Amino acid sequence: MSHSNLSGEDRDKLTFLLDCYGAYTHHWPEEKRSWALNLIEQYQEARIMRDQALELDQLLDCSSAEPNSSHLISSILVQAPQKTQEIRKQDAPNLLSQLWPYESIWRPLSALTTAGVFGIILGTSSPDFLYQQEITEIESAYLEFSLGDNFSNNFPEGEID
Amino acid sequence: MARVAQGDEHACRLLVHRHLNPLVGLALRMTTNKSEAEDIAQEAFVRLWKQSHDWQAKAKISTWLYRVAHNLAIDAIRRRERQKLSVNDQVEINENTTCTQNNQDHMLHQQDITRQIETAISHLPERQRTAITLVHHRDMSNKEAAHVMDISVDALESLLARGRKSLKKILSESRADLLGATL
Repeated sequence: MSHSNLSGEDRDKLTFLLDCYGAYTHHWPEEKRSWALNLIEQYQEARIMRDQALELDQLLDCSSAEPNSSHLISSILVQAPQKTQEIRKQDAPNLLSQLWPYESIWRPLSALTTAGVFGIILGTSSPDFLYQQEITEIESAYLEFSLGDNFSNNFPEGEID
Repeated sequence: MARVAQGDEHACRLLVHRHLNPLVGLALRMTTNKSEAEDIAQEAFVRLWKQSHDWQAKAKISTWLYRVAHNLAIDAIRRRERQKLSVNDQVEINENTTCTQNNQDHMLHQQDITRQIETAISHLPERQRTAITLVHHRDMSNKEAAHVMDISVDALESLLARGRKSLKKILSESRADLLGATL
């Protein structure tokens, strides 16, 4: 540790550093930090200069410039990206997907609906056709039974002895 | 930031908790108007939410926020100057900031000291206030602070040196009283 005075150049540079950034070493530019610390370690004059600069830093510390603004938090968060909620909605299993977990529910539903509609149309538009067709088949079978002579000839294997 | 873009509520909340008060503080220092400062901080976050999907990984969130808030505050100051708003509309700056002390009397004294410091700071030109706030109160490096203010490091150092010199001069009369309270 030396008590001799700083060189003029070092004094000017250190004065400028302390005038700009104060006495806190973490505020100093990185490239000048070790140089300044060396001066402070070596010279009493440098330490006095640092202590003088420290006074203003300590006063500035009293004012953090961080007013409590917590009442704004909710209104800011409301405007934050909401993608998570959409994902949650997609992920949340609804009643339909619980009932039909394999595929989208519209597939079996549309198939059932189509079949139902087709059946209703067929049933309401052509009941006579279906009825007549049944009667005709029964009638023809009855006629073949009742006509004994021709009955045996209806078998594909040929005549029965 | 990717989590913010994905709508992670916890990540968003963490960001707001970490940066809201310092951001309002910077804007308040610049505009000296609390409601304006709060609007600026809110707007900065809204812009961050919008930017989150296209966020560049190398960008530092705090620097980005401060830069946006700084620019918004500059706009607000210019707008106010144009509109010639009454000085009476401005609220007393930093009414909520205190030095935390257990002793109530001491705390009241500290609040008084804080008010004096804030008043002294408010007498500085806006750019000097901003430079001191960014470097001293936000612990920004000279490069970061210069980037936020969109000036060179040399210009920043000039603002800092002039600002601190003016503060020393303003506070010199009550120096002994103030230092007695802080030490």
